[in-house]
Amino acid sequence: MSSDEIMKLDPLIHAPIRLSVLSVLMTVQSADFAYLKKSTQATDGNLSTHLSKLEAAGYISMTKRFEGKKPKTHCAITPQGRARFIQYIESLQAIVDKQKGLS
Amino acid sequence: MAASQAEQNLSMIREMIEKTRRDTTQSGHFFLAMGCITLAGTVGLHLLERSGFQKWVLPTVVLMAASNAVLGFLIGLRERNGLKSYTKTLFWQTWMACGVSALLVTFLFPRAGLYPVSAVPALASLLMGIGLFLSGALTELTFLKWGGAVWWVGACLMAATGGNANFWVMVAVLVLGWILPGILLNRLQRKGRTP
Repeated sequence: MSSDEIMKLDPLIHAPIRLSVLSVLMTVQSADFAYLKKSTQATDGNLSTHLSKLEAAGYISMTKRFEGKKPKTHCAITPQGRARFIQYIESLQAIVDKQKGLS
Repeated sequence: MAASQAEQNLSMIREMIEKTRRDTTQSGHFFLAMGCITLAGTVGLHLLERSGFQKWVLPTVVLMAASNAVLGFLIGLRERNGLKSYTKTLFWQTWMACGVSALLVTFLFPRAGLYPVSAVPALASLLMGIGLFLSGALTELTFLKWGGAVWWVGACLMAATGGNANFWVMVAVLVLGWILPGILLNRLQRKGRTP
């Protein structure tokens, strides 16, 4: 990608694992850590780091609660995260459309 | 280069969304299990009535209702996969509302003298029709809506005919309005269609 185009894409979303997490969360009300881990095929530590980054940016919210004796982390996309994700998709689409227009 | 990576990312996003939606799809186990239990219970009730064991009719109805409630709860637990969606939540709450209403219609109101026991199958069928129709609306599956219509037609036939004919109407409605939608839902889930 050209540097201009890279600048337009949100670096917080662009990382593959964070992109996968947001794609899942766009579709549902919430998803737990285990589901996200399975979907992204990331390790616990890696996924935790990415989720923390998304949470710090205000793109997702995380709630921890006990189900029986097990603590479970549930993640949900925030309105801000949703808006930024849509913007990201539009940017990708614009790149594809531009390329198609040139060829 | 830029376009190919963008296309790759877009296709990855599409794939993740499709997979997640597939994971939130309702299976047909709920309808299949409830349909089979209610069908067995209906046949049992018919046989009890025909052979003069009237005193076993009420315990059989109670057993059937309890089995359905427990099974519905267990299936709900089993189908939890870490995802929460509005469709899924509303689906289960719709059936909880219909289940509670069906219990009142079957056990409480006839005992309170609001209507005769013979009216119970028709009234309960109306509630099942509402549940199935709403399930169809929530999951955007037309055949579930038609299943709801089958229950409403069945309710009308039961109200019009009564007596022994009610048994056959109920059997037909259970097969067409519950077991068949359950089979179709399972088939859709296996194929991976998203509602």
